[in-house]
Amino acid sequence: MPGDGELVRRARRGDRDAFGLLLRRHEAKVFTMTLRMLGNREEALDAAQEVFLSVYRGLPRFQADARFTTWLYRVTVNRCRDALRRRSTVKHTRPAPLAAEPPSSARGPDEAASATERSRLVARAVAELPGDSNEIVILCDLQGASYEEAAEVLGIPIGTVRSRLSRARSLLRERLAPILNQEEA
Amino acid sequence: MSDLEALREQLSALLDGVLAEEEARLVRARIEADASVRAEYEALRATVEAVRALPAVPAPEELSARVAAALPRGRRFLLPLGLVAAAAAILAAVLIAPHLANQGQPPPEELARGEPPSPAPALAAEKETVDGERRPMVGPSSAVQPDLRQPTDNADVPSEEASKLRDSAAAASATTTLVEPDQAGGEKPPEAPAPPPADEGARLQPADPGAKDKRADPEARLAYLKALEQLKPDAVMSRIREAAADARFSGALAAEETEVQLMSLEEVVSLRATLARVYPVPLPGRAGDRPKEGVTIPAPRPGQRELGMWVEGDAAELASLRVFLDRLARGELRPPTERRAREETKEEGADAGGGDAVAAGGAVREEAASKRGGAKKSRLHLRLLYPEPVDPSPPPEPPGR
Repeated sequence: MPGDGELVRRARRGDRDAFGLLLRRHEAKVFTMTLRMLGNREEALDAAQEVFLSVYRGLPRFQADARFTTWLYRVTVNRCRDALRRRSTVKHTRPAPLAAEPPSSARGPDEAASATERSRLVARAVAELPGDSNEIVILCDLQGASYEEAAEVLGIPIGTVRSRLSRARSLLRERLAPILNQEEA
Repeated sequence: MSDLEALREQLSALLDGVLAEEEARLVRARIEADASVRAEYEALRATVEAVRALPAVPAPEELSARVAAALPRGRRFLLPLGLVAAAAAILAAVLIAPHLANQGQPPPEELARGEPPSPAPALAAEKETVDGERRPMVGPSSAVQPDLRQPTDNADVPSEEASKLRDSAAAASATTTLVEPDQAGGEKPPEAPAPPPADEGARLQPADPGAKDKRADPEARLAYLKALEQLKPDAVMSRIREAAADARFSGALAAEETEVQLMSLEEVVSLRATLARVYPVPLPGRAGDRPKEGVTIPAPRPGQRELGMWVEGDAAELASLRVFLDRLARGELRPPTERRAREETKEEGADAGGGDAVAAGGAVREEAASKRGGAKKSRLHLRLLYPEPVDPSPPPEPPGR
């Protein structure tokens, strides 16, 4: 299985199959990010499409020694920011992320329904975080980016990643407290 | 930052395992000793676990189909160095524009000396191979002549001018030398000079007609100066945009994270500084830097300026770039107006104009691949020589005064 670097090199030479492999490999990550950041399936789909088109157009400028996923995340964050800016100009509210929530893997029907509902609420809480809190939580907790990688994606110092992530988690904790406390009880 | 915020930040960092060992030990001790800190930590952990437990969402099937449908059809990455190529196109357009504008009149100094018209602006690129061997990758232009030798049916260029451009092509030198960084023993381009001021090269220099030979044909000289008068920056920029559009560089110029805006002649020249930002490749010195031994590049003549840049990329793509530059310098790329007219009569997907450059590039690509066993990263040094801008103002005195 060729690595991202090899696929990028081939895609730069005009190999569309290589670009297709890159797309297939990363589309779930990108779509998850756009969905969690935008909270709406249609907008997320549009943004994900724009991400891959931007990546395609930007391949010539991609530095071969850079990590592809870091760049991909950066483009994704930028496209989501664009979408949020556009949304703010037309006064849309952020819709609840209901439609695309995948079914839970919990066993019984009740348990599955409960887990799905929990996922829905958590996803909604994440989507409703303020912009920079939303981004940092998605990068670090959902995508598993390191502090260093998040810093590179967002163009901020590592210390800022640490403080911003802490604030975002605190916000999230307040919003999820009713659900989490209920589960504890 | 309050104590609570500082504590939360420590707890958050502890969860991620990024605290230094000593700090982590102290925070753990605090968690053990203080029930409220412990509660804070547990709540934070539950929150983070809830987020991390969110499942990945499979991408809808339609995503890849939509992306595939939106990709430009038939496009190959002929221009991975899109910006560089665009910059070169722009510069080449600047070079060509005066030839078009002055309707074939030679520059004033040549008129003054009674010399024949100077050849087309030199467009030189050097290529260094690895292991010290120097060889032309693309070879002399004749290597791609079958693709390049097409009639200059440029509708914007009068036939006489087109003929001149064709003739001058032989004089336009373009040799290429490649460096393959992986094998070049760490050879690096020269250190980058400070970026030129934004108006470098764009400030029009006053002509000095008084210094010219009085035997020059005053009518021809006046016609030339009038033509120069028409060569306003806007007209030059228009020509530049046409050249860029013709080569289908508009996408590259509009690409995101590109700060190039074709707004003024000054910005054309400051592209050099932009390139330094976009491509972290040191740029060579300015005029006066001598090429390495064995590389044939004409030195700028009096009245010429030089712009040099290092670009790095796939060897075959650099070859394509060079082919494009060759064609641009020869005036073989048709303007958009004529291309559009031709496209209307062709079936969709049949490239006109720029498509020839693609074909030529493809030929070079294959040749390079077969000779070199596959595409490799290379470094190309472009040096562009162009005429010193001449100030059309103040207006020339009427002849005979």
